[in-house]
Amino acid sequence: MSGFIAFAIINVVVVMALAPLYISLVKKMKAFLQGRKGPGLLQAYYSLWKLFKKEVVYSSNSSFIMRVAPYISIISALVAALFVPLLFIPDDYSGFGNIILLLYILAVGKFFMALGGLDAGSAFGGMGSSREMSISSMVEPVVIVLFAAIAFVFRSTNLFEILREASHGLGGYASLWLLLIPLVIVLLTETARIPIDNPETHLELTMVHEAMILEQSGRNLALLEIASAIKQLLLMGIIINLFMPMGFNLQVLFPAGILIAFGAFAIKGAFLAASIGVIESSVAKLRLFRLPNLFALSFFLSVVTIMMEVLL
Amino acid sequence: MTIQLIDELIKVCMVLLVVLTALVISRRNLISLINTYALHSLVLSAIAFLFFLGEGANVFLYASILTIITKLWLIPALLKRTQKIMKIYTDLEYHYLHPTSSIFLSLFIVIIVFLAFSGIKDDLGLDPFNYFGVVMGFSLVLIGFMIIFSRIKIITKTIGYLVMENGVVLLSFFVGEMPFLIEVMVLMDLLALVAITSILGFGMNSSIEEFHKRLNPFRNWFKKVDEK
Repeated sequence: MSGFIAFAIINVVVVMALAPLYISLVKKMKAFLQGRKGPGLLQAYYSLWKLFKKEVVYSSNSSFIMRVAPYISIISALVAALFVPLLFIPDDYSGFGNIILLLYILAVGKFFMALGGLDAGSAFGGMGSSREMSISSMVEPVVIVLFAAIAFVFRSTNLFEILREASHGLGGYASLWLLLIPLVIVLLTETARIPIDNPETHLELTMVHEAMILEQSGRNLALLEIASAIKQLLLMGIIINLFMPMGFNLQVLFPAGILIAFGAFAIKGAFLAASIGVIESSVAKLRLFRLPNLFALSFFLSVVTIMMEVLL
Repeated sequence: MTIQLIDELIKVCMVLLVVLTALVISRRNLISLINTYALHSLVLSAIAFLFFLGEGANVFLYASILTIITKLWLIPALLKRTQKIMKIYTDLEYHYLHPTSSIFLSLFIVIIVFLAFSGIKDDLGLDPFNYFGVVMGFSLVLIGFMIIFSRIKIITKTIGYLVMENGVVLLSFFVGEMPFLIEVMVLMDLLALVAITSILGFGMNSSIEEFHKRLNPFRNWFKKVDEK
């Protein structure tokens, strides 16, 4: 069990350290592609620090939900961080890593974030929560089928076992490549990015996630921002360790193996974050009624993957 | 190259084919649609080449070369030329099915074909690898049909027709006799050529309904004759 405790501490520290960096990196990449200088790579850390020092303001209509939602969101994100190995896989992980449980833990955070948006009683928060839940209701079936397809490919529902198998290389897992597109679509959806949502807009017509947290302020807003950044990093971690497992779970003694794995993950994460920036810059935000098309595509590819696994 | 490696590469090509099929169904931008079709054909050509490497039959090599010349170069070039003259950049008109429902129907088609062929796969002597190829090939034929009847613009219907033909070719790779394959390819390509030529000949801003409107005034000639 001590091995798992070491894993938990290292994983959480890595998540907390890298999550804001990749948010900045996506913004930097977008700015670069638009010919702007853009914010520095440490800007996300400065912004979070600034928010932590600011006073929290609550609407007079709000209840305890508004007060607890940020904490539940950050706790659920941190618990989820124990389910997604980023650098290595511990020897003993009993009770952790179930892929279905991971989805539910992430859903709990989102649920309370949406409740927080409704709780303030403002038109914007309610509208944001409503839109976020509408999109969630469309994407959840896709996410379930997608993770079922991953479980089908590796014959396991435990993410630790799946990633351990993937770390040996993807030879013989041709059908897994079909899932790369659905995984990227789910990553963009769950992290409220273009073409599903625009994280930088504050226009009434286009806001989804931002409208939901518009009533949050100070420390609470910082916690919600960190929770979103962690969620993005965890989904990125699944993609990275499934499709680019080089440097992951090295059988080298501590701490050299951990440091190499950290370096490798940071580089691969930077590459994926830059790719997200490229995607965000090269496509337009989709209208709400065009989103089912994107999700249907993911659903189609996930089901065909399952069929390939049945047949081949 | 070992047989196992060739089989793995064919599986990767099949994966690409599935992704590109999904994109063909859901694309609205015509240039992107034509490029996706060209890529679809390129992957088909790669599968033929891998079969040639695996089985050594020259006919697969010819099929691969023929596919590259006609479907990767000639037909996309003709379609792009047509599209340029049409000055239509997106296809937003549909009969019955929108892209989202088309994707779900495609999934339904794949499942139905999978179930339909499961009853006769032993009679056909198909191993799981060939069975998947047959299922995808036949599904592509039906998906091509679906694109033909669900889209209105002729250029998109033509793409549906060509996807259907790619399905026939894929089916033949896994189950058919090669001379039959060549016959079907030539026949289908001729028909596709006729379809493209008709677009080029008839004036461009066209759907089937547009043709109808254009031909309708000729009725007046006969009316005048009757009145006289």
